[in-house]
Amino acid sequence: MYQRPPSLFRRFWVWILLALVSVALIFSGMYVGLNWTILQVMYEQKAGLNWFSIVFYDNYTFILAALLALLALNPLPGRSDLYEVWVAFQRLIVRFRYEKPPPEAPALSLVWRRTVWAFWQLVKWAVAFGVIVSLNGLPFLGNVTIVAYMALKGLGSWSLVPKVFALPIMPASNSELIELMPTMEIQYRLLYVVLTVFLIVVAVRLILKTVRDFLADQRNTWIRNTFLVLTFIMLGIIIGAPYWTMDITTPFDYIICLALFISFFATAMFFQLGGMGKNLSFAKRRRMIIILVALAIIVILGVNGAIIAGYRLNWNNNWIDYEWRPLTEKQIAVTRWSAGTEGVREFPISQVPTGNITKILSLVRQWDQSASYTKMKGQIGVNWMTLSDADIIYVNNREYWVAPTTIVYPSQDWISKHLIFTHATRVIVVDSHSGEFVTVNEAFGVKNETLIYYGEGEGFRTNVYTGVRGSKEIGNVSYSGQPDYVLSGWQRTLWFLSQGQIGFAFSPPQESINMLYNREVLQRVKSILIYGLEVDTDAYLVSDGKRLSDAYLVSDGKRLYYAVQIYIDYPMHSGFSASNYMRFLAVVLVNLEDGSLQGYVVGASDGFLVDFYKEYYPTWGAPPSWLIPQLRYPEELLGKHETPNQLDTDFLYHVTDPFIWRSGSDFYERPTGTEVHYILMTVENQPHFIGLQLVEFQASPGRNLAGLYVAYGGIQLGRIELYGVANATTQQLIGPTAALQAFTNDEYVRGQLTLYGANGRTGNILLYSIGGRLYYFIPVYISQAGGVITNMAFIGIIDATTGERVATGTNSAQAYYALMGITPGPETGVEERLNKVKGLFTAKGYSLVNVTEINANLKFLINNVTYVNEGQWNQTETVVNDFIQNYVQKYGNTEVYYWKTDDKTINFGILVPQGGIVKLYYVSVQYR
Amino acid sequence: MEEFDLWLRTKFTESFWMGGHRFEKTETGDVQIDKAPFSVEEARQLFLMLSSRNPITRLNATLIIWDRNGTLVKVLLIAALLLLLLVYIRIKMK
Repeated sequence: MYQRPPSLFRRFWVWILLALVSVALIFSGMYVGLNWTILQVMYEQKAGLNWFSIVFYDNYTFILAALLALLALNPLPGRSDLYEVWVAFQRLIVRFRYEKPPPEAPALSLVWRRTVWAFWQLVKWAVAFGVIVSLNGLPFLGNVTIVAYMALKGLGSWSLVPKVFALPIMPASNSELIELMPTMEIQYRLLYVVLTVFLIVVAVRLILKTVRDFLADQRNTWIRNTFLVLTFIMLGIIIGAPYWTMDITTPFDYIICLALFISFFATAMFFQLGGMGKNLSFAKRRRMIIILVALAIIVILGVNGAIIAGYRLNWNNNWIDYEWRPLTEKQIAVTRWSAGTEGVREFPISQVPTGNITKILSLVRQWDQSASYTKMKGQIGVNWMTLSDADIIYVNNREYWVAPTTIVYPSQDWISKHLIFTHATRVIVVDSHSGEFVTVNEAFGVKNETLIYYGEGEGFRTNVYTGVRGSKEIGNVSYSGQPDYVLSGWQRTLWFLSQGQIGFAFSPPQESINMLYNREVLQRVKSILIYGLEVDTDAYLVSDGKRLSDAYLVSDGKRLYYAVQIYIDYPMHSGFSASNYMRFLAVVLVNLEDGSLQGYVVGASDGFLVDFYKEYYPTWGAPPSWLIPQLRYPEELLGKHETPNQLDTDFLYHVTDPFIWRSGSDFYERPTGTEVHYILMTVENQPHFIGLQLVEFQASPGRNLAGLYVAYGGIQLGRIELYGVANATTQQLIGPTAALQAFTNDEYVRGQLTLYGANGRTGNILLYSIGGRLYYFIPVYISQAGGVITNMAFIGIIDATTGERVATGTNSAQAYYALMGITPGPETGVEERLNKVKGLFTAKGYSLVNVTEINANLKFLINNVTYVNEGQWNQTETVVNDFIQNYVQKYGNTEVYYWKTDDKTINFGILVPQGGIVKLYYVSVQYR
Repeated sequence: MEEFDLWLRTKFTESFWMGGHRFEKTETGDVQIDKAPFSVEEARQLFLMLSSRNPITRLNATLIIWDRNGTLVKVLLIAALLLLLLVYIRIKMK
């Protein structure tokens, strides 16, 4: 009978499948390699960093993974525990199914068996290597590479390891514990992880052997193995003991664990030696020994258990000695150290800094983020840009809401996304007090139109190609900076093939194509961060626009940068630490126009992780002087409702009195309607850019104010203060929740809000200290849902002492004067304003000389300011006084020239001859 | 002891209970105590131990029977697992 031969596919399907898989693997391997090359070249050129070395810990990722993966190998050549279980299982099935077992199938030759065994070990090693590399460690045990790397770099101390191991029976003091923490997280952690993995691997192998022996009915072996597994589990628990939370009962728990460990091991050995055996059953002396040993173990367990029970029964009448001193007190000290809140200074709320009333009122942040954002939307002007986010910033002594734009694609085709819409162009700025729009030039001192090729938001997640023949970027501009990578040859072909662009892959418009890669600023910075470092998702703009130097002028270096804040969030495993290790580490500036990055370390040296990370990024230096005043403390590090952090830890762990701790009467919580607000706080009449967090007592029915946290920015960055209300105080202050209730219950406010209906809403609840008393300011805005216009209808002020006094006004000053029943002085006229400004110079003894025109080789506009109402006087005063101090005094001039550029603006300047050229430094004041 | 020998010789009954343990004759002439096989001599010794007034001797006999029928291993294993579980819970609760 004739049979047709099988088709080619049926004959070679295995080989075809293997070939396809191989091609896919090679292609994806090359693609990954290309991506790594791009990242390596890009960060080398634009950040001066070795990307590969950073993310793979100087190749220790691979070295450590290769070593740890060896644990997956079977040390006995030719043996496989998994295979032996399978064989035992099959034999069992055969035994059940057949009375007489069928003849066994012919076995593979020894050479083949060895080859298959070797291949299987290789596969296991490769899989384990892949898993360890991808995790930089082991599942459920965290990152091991960084731990090993830190140990190699000399952090922690091997000599302290015995002390760490003995912690359960030899407790350490608060300071000793803090001193031991680095060793506990590095050297001991490394030992713990390696030993745990080893024990797990051995235990798994023993379990497989147990199953095999159980199926083969080899009784004593499987019992021995079971007890060995239990022994290893106990050993794992004992090794992990230094990470326990430790109270007075801990040494007894530890003894119980030791007793069980010894018992399990002894039992395993007993069964290894043949168990009781047939004759042993009747060997009286040996039986007695066994009974005595068993009794001894029972006694040890019983006595220790009884001691623990005794302690527990007497817990409440000895709580200080049993729990507070051995555990809670230490936990508070260690947690404050790890959370980075040990430096938080506490003051009574009566000492909240205050200053000149007019000045404070002129700085109140009347516009909140949402209102500013809505208002800014109307300024975009085109359909291919939208606002990414509105960030609060402090630059050149003024606070603004700033919203850089991001790209939205009106058309979703590939050309639009990758060749046309390559950048955004607008940055919209609003004064946080007045709500007025301010030009980018006025706020930052840079040109108004900035080409944003690197920014925030989805629009920047697309890689773009610039300078491509036959295509034009939107706005008729061309990217002039250095590309992140130039694709050419096989790399271009591979890249565009993976993009599905066959044309660009094989017949491109030009051989080399410039690419801007990884343009989303947060992702761009994240790509160079290692384990334990996080970025604050709220990046904000900074500028060196007011920086003044000759070099700066020559290079025209006025730039806008995204400041991406990086903080340490490293897990601490000790039971004494209720917080991760948290510190503000650095700020990375990303140039909006060319994507170059420069990091600056702001964290203070700590002998631990800050120092480690500092050393890890050696090109990151101290921040330049122009950047420091613009820096703020990261909001995410302070904590939010959804992501509790440093402050949330301090809400509990600021308490150091055992009875206040136990009663929970001084625990704080973040009120529902509030978060960290960045505002200007006046300290000795100087505005400071601070993060303010109001807190209420935990679960307080009265919603009283418990305190306020002040996190300083600028030159005092890192200083955090808590102004707390003494719990026993007779004078209570209302909290923000109650303040909002008092405000919305006010007859006038209620009426207005009813009138505005869904279009009206209250803004941020902010607390200011004016004249030694605390007042809440709550603005009311009107805007339609989905609208682009927002108006501040009025702003309310509530006396925090009682909550009964509520007043409103068109601005903070008016509201305050209404509350105080004072009529504010008349608005100063044009001439008066002009004279007031001039008076700042004459009061300091400088002569003012009126000139019609002034000429110089180089002209420097140091600052400009608007003074058209009294609310702007403080700002004007600051700007002019800064100019006098930093220029007029510095260059020793006695005459100051003034001239008008138009009927609204007056300029004050000095001429400074330097090296044969004359420089003019001046400030502009718009007074009309 | 005479009672035990009498039981061995006669066919009056196949099994009897002593101190909570069941003695049974097997087809091979041996004795099963709580399903554990013993020779006649061993069974006789155990009978003696179980009839002793000394509680430790009686405990010894029980242990011998439990060892032979596998109960001792099961008890050991269960006790070990329970203890491990208790320790684990205690550590996790800390």
